[in-house]
Amino acid sequence: MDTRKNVSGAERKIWSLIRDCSGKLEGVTETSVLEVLLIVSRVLGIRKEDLFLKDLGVSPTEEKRILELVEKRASGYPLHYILGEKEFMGLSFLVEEGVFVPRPETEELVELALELIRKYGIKTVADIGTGSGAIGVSVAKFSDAIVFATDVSSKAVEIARKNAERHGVSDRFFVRKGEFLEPFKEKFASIEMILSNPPYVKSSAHLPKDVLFEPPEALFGGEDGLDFYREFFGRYDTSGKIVLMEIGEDQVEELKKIVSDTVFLKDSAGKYRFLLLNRRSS
Amino acid sequence: MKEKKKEIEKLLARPDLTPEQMKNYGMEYAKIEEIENITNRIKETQEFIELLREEGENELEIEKYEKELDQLYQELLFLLSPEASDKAIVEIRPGTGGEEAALFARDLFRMYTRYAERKGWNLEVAEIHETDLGGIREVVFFVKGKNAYGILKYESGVHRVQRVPVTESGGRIHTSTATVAVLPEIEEKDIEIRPEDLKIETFRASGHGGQYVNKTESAVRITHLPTGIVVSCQNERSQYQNKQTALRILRARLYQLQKEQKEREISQKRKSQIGTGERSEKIRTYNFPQNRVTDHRINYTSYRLQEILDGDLDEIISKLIEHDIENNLEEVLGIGASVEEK
Repeated sequence: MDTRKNVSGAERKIWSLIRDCSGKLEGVTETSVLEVLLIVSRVLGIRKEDLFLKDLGVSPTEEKRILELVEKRASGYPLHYILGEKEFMGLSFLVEEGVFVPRPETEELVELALELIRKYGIKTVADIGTGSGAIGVSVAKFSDAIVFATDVSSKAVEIARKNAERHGVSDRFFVRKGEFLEPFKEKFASIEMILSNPPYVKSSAHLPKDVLFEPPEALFGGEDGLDFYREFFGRYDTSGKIVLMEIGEDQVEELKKIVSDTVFLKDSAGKYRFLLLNRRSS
Repeated sequence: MKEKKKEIEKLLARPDLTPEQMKNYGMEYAKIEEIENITNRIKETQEFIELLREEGENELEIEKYEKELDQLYQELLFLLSPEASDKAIVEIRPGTGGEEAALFARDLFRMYTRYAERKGWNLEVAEIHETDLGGIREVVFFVKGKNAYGILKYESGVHRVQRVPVTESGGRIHTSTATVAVLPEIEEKDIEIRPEDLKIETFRASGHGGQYVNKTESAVRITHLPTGIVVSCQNERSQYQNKQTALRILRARLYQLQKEQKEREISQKRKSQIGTGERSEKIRTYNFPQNRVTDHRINYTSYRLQEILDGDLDEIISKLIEHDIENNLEEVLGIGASVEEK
């Protein structure tokens, strides 16, 4: 009796494909096996765990597609553009070339914002440079606030709108194309809290290959990475409002010169990551 | 049980009870009464069936009452299980046996997934970590469905496989193991965790974070400082999601720890109860050459290995439940008798 039933032939094939592919990604990522599992799941249209739960075969067309995408990833192309989505705050956000891929630090900004919204009963929030809509859509999803979002990229505006629809908050998330809060000038007085993950990377920074595929306008903040903050605080009167923004971990001293009455908060990795300016009267 | 009831009666009569204590004791008392009630119904039904048999009633009629009896047993089981709950957290990890153990862990994961499908339960994977050959280094999943915990709790312990591993060229039979841990899921409102008792850490690359890097994984580690319980969650999901998942697991582990402590303090745990908590106990062997599955706790062997691995677990689990009920009934029937004496 053959007792070697524990691994089928088809399965052996798929796992040897996964092994070969992960070898190709070792140069671009520390999580090569995981990334291949995600790419394979995407091509086969299955959940990752199904790779363990079912004896799956791979058709020649699927194998070809997997190899193409793995090659693409091996060139440094961002994984999340290949997958077409990135999870943020437990919500899946559509992302594609031309849109910044949301980062975990920014989830902590959203959590902080949600705390403040609850604490003060805030009703109106702005999100500058919304990108995929990660901050604004999450805030709308997890609170009752209305969100006015902006972005200079029409691609981002389009994707953010789709993400708002995807998470059922189109009635409270409004996005317009433009700089800072210019597209919502008429609403400025009513905005109680301004959120943003503005570009803060120094133009001289040496970035990993995959980050370089992301839109430069979402990343680079001039020579010292502070152009956005300088312009924003120079342009808008924030009295009576709360401003919560993400910052680069080494920008605290320079930012103090731009806005003096700010509190700087660390992220859970222990790095200065947020600027909080509370000019609310109550 | 009889003593417990008296103990609670005494406690309830104390004037210094807080409303919270009163509620808890009251609930426990109500539960014991319900158990007594069902036990009495079981006895009545049994007697009635015997009576029907004596009178030569036709089998169809008798079967009807036997089904009712089964139903009552199920209800009783549900009540007797101190942690009767519809939500379970299951963790599977390979033990000894290297890659073969990881493949076996994968097989067990498949088995429970298919069992959950048969039961109409919802299964959600929280964490899964692979080995190169398609085995599993670790899997954690949530199961939600009728009495899911009450049933799956019998799976806690060390499972052993005996077969020729796919990785073995010589054709020798190996013995490998995997450990299954099943905990009831505890709602946020049911356990108090002080935020200041938690240390929440995330792990990111040294050097720049934020916009400077785009990692595929997010990793969260939560330490419960007073007890030292550590839960980590690291995968492609969002950091927020991983934090929520880690907290769900932490709540369950903390509850389990508190429960075990309480039980040790208050009374000896019923000896008859099967396999919860004893995570190092070898509970079952899956022997491929002999096509058998043996549950060592009840010394029960089934020769339907493949069906069982395909998720047909009811056969074994119902035997385990019966065993549990029999043992519990002895205690409970003691109470039944005492009630009649009054």
